[in-house]
Amino acid sequence: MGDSNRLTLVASDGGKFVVDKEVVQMSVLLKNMIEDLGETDESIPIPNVTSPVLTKVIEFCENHRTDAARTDGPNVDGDDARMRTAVVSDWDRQFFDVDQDLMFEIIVAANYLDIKSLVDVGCKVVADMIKGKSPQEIRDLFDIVNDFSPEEEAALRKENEWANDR
Amino acid sequence: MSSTVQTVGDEGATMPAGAAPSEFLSLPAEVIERILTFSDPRDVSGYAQTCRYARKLVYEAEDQYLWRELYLGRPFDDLRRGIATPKGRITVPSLSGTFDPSDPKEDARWRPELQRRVRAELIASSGTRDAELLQTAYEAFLSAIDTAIPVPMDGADSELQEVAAAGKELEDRDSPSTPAALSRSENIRWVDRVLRKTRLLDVLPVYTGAIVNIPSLEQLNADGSVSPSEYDLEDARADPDGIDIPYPEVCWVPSRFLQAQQMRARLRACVALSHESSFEIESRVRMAKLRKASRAFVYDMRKYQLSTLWGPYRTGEDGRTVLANWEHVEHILNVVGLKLREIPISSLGYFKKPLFQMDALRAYTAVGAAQRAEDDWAGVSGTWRRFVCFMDYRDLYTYNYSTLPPGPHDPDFFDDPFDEALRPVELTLELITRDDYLAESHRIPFDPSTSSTRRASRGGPIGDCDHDPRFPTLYFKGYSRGAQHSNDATIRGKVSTLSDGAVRWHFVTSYDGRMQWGAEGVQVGHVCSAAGVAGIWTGAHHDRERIDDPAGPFWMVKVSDGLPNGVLNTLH
Repeated sequence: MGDSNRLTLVASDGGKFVVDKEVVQMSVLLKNMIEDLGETDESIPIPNVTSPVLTKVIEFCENHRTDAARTDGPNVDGDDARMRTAVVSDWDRQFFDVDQDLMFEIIVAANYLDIKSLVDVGCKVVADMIKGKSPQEIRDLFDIVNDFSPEEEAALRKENEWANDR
Repeated sequence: MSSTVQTVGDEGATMPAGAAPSEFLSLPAEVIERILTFSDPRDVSGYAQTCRYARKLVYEAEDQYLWRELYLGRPFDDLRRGIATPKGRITVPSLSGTFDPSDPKEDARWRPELQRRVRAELIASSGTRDAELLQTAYEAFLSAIDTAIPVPMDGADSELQEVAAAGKELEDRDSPSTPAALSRSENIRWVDRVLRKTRLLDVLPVYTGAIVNIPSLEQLNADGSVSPSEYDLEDARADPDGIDIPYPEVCWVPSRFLQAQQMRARLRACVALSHESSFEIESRVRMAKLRKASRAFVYDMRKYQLSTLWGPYRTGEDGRTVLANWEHVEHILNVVGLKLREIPISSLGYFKKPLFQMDALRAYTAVGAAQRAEDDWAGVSGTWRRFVCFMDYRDLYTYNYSTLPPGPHDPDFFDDPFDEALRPVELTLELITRDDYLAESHRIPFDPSTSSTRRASRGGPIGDCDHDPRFPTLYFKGYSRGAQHSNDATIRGKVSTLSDGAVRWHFVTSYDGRMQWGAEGVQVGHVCSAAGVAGIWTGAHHDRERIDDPAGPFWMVKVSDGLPNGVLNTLH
C-alpha cells in the first residue's frame, strides 16, 4: 500500500485486485468515486462483479490504457461517435472468445462500471453473432423461447416485410 | 449479476420467467438496444421476431433512439439537416406532405424512412419488374435525394461549386477528386451506388393486373400506341432497355402506374446519364437509342399545347392542374446532355459544361448559392449559362408535318446524319418585386395559367399554386446574350411552385422590346442546386393555339463567369 498511483478493488466474492489508478479511471463510475473520496488508502468494493469477471475487465482496461485518452475526447459521446462499422480488433475478438455467460457478465459489468469502450466492443461482438441469422437461429443461439401466438406470427411477418427478401 | 425481470415500456412483454431464462434477455434493455444499434437493420428485424419481449423493444420503444441510431449508422444523412422542399411532393417522408426538417414531429420518421430504404435496396437487387414494388423503391430513392443534406453555407465547401463552375470533365465516374468528399451526402452516395450497381432504372415496370384499355385499330396505327405491358411481354428480353418504344400516348393506365412512370423518369433525370460511359459499347448503344427516343419526343410539336403551357408539363387527373412531366424533363436532359457530351472540351471553349454528377442535385451546390439574398430561395440572381438546342426549321417541319412516307413523327428521322445545333447563351438575372413585374403590362410574359389570365369558365390550365409560404413566387428581369449578338435581349420571368412541389421557371426573351421566345422549365434538383433547370423554348406568342411555332430543349445552370466576346456562337 501507500503507492498513491495504485488502488485496490474488491470483487463481490472478496477477491482483491491492485490496479493502476490510470487503469481504474477508465471506469467513469470509479473515476467519480475516487474524486469524491479524495486521497485514500481504502480499497474500493465492487459488489456487483465477481472475481473472474473483474479479472477480465481489468485485463481489457490495462490493454486499452493507452487509448484511454479517447474516452475523454469529444468524439466518444454523442452523435459523432458513429463508427458503426462494427470493426473489432483481433485482440478484442480474442478477449471475448469466452463462453456466452461470461461474455454477457463482462458486458453487464462494463455497463455498470461505465466503461464505454468495453461496452461497445462487447456489443459489437454480440451484434456480429446475430449477423445474418434467422429468428430461429437467434433463438437457438441465445436460448430464447418463442412465445408468439399463431396470430401474432402472422402480424409479425407483415411487420417485418420491409427487411425480407421476397 | 442480477437476474431480475426486465421490462420495456410501461406494461406487458416481460422477460419470460421460465425455467432457464435466456442470459441474453437478462441483459439490461439499454445494452440490448446498444447491441442492436451496431447491427444491420435486417438483423434487428430478425431479432424482433424471436419473442414478444424482443419485438417490444424493437417496435414499441418509447423513444426513437434505436431507429435514429440505425438510420444514421447505416449511414444516411441526418433528416434534421435536410432542406425543406415545396409542399406537394409525394415522395418526401412526412405525414403532412410537407418536408420540414425543423418540425419536432418529424422525429417519428427515422423508422419508416429507414425501413423503406432497406426495402428499396432489396427490391433493386432482386431484379423484379413488378410495378408496385418498383414504385416503392422509386419513392425511397427520390425521398433520399429530397432529404440529402445541403452543401454547408459557411463557404468551407466552395470547392464543389468551383468544380461545377469549372465544367467538370464529363467522362466519367468516380473521379478521385470528387468534390463531395468535403461534406459528402450519404443519401446521394447511397442512391448513386445502388442505382449504378443494380441498373434499376433500365428496368421497365410490368403492370401485372392492370386494366389497360384495348386500343382501337386507329390508335394502334398511330405512333407510340404500344402499352408498356404489351411491350413487356413480347420484346422485353430481346431489348431490355426498352428504349425503342416511345412512351405510350393513347393507352389508358391507372393513375398510380402513371405515377410510377413519373417517378422512374424523375430518377432517370436525376442520374442524367452519369452512369453511362462512352468507353463501353453497351453504354454507347444505350445512349444512341435514348438519344433517338428523346429527340423524337422533344421535337414532337404535339407535345406543346396550351394545356401544358407549351412546357415540360402534364396535367393532373382533373385535366387542368399543371404538374411537372418528368418524362419530358428526362428527354430534355438526354438531348442537351448528349449534345454536350459529343462536343470536345476544346471546341466548347469557354462554354462550360454542366456538372454531371448526382451531387449536383443537392441544395446550394449552385455557384454563388452562399451569397444569395435571403429572399432568393431559388438562387435566381446571378449569371446563368443556357444551352439551347434547336433543329433546322425545315427539318423540324418535315419531322412534324411531312405528308410523304413514312409520314410525320417517324423516329428514324433522327438516324445519322441528323444533328441539331447547340447555342450557349448567357443570362444575367436579378430579382424584382411583384409590383415592378406587373407595372409594365406590355412586358409581362403571357401565362394562361395564372388566376388573372385563366379563363376559369373555359377550363384553362391551373399553374402556380403559391400555397407554400416558404416558397413564394419570385419575379426577375435580366438580359441574355449569345456571343455574336451585339444587341442584348431582355428577359422577364418568374419562379414559382406547382401543386406537385415542382419548381417552375417561366420567362420570355425580348428583342428591341418585342417578345420573341418563351421558356418553361423545371428545376432538376433541390433549391439552388448545380443541376439547374431543364426546359423548353417556343415562340412567345401563345395567345392562340398555334402549331407552327418552333420549339426545342434547353438546360441552364448557374456559372461564375461571363461569356467572353468573339468566341463560337453556334456549335454543330
